[in-house]
Amino acid sequence: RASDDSSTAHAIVMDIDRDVIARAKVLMIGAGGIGCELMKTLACSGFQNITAIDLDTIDVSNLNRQFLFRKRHVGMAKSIVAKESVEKFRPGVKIEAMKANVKESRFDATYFKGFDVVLNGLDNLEARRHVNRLCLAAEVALVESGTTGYVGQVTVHARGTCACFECTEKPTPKSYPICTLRDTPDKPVHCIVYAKELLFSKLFGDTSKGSDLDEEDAVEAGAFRRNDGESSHDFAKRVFEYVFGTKIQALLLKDDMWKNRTKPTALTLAGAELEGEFSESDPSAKSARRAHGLIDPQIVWTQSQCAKVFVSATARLLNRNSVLEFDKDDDDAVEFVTAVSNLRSANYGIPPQSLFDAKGMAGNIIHAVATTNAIVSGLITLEAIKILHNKMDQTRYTFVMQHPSNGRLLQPLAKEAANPKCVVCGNARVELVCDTNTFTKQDLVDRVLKKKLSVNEPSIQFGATILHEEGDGLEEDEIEQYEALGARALTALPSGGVVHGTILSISDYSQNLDFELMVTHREEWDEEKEPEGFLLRGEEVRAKEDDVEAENADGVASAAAANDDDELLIVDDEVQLADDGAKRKRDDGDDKEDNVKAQKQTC
Amino acid sequence: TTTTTTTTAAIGTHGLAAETLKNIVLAGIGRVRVRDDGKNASSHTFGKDGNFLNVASDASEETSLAKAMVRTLEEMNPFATIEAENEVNMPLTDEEVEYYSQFDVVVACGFDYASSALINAKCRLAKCGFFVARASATSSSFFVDLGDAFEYISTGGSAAKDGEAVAPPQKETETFCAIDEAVTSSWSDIGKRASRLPAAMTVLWKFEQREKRAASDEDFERLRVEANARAAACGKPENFIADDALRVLLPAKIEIPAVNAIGGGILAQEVLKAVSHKGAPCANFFVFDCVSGQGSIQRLSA
Repeated sequence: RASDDSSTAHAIVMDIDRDVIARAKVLMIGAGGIGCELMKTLACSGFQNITAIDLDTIDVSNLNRQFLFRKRHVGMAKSIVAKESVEKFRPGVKIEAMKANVKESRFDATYFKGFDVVLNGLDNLEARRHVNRLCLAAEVALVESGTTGYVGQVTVHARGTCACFECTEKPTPKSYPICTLRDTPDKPVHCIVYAKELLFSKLFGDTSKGSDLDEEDAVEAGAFRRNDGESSHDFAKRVFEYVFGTKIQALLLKDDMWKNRTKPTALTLAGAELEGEFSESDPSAKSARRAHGLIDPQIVWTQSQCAKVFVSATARLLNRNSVLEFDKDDDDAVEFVTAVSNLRSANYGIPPQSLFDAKGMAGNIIHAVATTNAIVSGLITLEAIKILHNKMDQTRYTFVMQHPSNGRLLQPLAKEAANPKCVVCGNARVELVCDTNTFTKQDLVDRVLKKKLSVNEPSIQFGATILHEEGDGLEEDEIEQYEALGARALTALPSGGVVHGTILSISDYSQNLDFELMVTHREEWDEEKEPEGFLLRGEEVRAKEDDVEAENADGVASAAAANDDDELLIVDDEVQLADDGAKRKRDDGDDKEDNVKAQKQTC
Repeated sequence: TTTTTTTTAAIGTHGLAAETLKNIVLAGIGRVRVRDDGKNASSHTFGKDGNFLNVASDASEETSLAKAMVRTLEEMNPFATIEAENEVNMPLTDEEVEYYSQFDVVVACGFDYASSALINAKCRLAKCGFFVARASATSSSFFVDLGDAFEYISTGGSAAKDGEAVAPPQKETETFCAIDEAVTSSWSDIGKRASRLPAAMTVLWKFEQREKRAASDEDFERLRVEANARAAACGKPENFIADDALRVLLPAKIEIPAVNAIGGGILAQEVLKAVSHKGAPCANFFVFDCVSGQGSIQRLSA
């Protein structure tokens, strides 16, 4: 068919050599939203050797979009169940399924070298960076992807030919899985979303609809069920006791949950000064907080104040006697959310917020969409096919849009060129600004290197002195030595200390990573504007002040009758798909560069 | 919600149909009827055709392909009513208008022009939405007709500039035409930067209408001539439709699962909009091709 000279495009791309596909060794990481779709598409496409890694087990909230899983699979490993489901319609396929964390040391560069291509279906930035670094080290092409609601993208990365995943900073959309929101929050925004989406809906929304708070123990205890004749204040106090007290205590019994996390603390009515007769200093006030004399929105309320605002706001909202939806212009609603969020923060050791900040954070919500994952899986597979046929020059980025731009829902773009100053694949230096007299080595390791820069096992060298090392090969006394240095401020470290202008060499053997970190000393820190007490700057700033995890969007389209809202999404007002549309060449021969980036996402 | 009482009928058993069905069932559509005019047996295509809904059953009895697919779909959403069309005694095109009026939307996968036009006409009479989807080795496309006055609620628009308030959702109406009108449409309204693949699709549809068979590689020259003539008729340059644009749309003997995943995703989104009346529907052609990598919508009507 493709013998005609002029059918160039047809021949080049779709001259698929089935043997090449069948022999290819593919590694896919992530067997969730994108992963299920991808495994299905790969298997149907004739891939015979697939390895799938995912550390997660199946949650009931996954079932209405991760279509390879059924109710009977809840609790089982995602990668393994996915494999079994795929074998049911493609008996000849060979899938090695592993329930494992891709950051484990056995998945080193040598391991990655064993594959012809790596396909990511991950849901967090840290793992993406780790895989990016390993693919670069192993010199294996990587197809990256992500979805958020109706929006998605697929990108291709290969050492030496184009940008790696970390060459440019990409602002990431923010979304949070239900289990984090319900059981293990660790950021203020988790608490806000809990208050607004879970508790608010449960108490004031459509009570006939199911809720993620309808857990067995809650239902048994009648925690959210108002008793006949119960005053709204009394009911609110009971909800307080359950949500911030009993429920927390129940969670504390789950040892596994707290292995790597700080344990929460239960609150009590007594501790929050809610015992006895409830009263408001100004019952006729316009809103809950004003009823307790709290006016200034910038002030952070005490725990007791939050508790009182909670009871008042709950009562006021209940007394309206109608189904409510959160409205950020409704003072009682916003105050409810602020109070709940802060009380929850108190449970989990998270810093509380002012009304002003809480309101700002309660932004737009978008429900995630399953079809985007399907579309992205197709795009990933197409790119993988091109790579396996040595057609790297034909690979591209593709963006999936919610609203058509120039009539396009799928927009192809040329791959970016490698950034010579990339911290990961080029030469670069990062700058840390902090108070060197108070910033400790442990702060540097945990908050800067691991958290902001996603370094896995950093080693820090300062001239000839090694200040820090991690990894399997260390002796007991070496580990102790490094730990002891952890508590010391930078200036108090050996060999004269780390002072203003010091340049440290940071490396990570597991990620084949090397870069320089220059330290700049600064004493004045504005607690409000720079709450973290340090700044990270570089040729490419990789971490913004509140760098949050980019979780994969796993949720159901809003049309679902059953099980709405199981995975929630908060998206920035502007989700940038391309970091700079003007610089990048559009792959479609258009006359003029177009602005494909800004999309306002609204409720 | 509005989807709980709707019904769609998916016909055809290609991977594209499987993708679309999977997506709409997961999304919570109320009722689906799956119909296979080919009356294939499930064992016939199992493991071979990229239809991942055709899953090995534990029961050993032979079942129809439609039933096998329904069985898998039911597991994905126990709350939906999913049925296989059992009484397939005649082709869909012969069914009465009354049959069509059971549905809110009919999705026809892989039908030829003549059948598509007939089904489209009956859908119009029955006042139900009509989608016809096609696939080639390198492309996935569909045509949609939701009637003369399709009402919907817009859910915010395209990019709003910084500082501009985003318009609140409002009621809008969209107009569609039937496929016989669309295939003879003028191309004068096609924007300078718009994709020309939808227009190229109409050249292929028109060929089928006239020749009563699908175009193949050998017909390329005739398609080329037709495309040139259509372009000239609306004052466009002769090579308005590039050679490649025609080639990528030529029907193929095989489907590419990756392309089906993409086409089925967009198609499902549009089907959901059609039944929920929420969100601006695409009007009235969509084409994705993996050569250009574009997935574009274009309105083409007389």
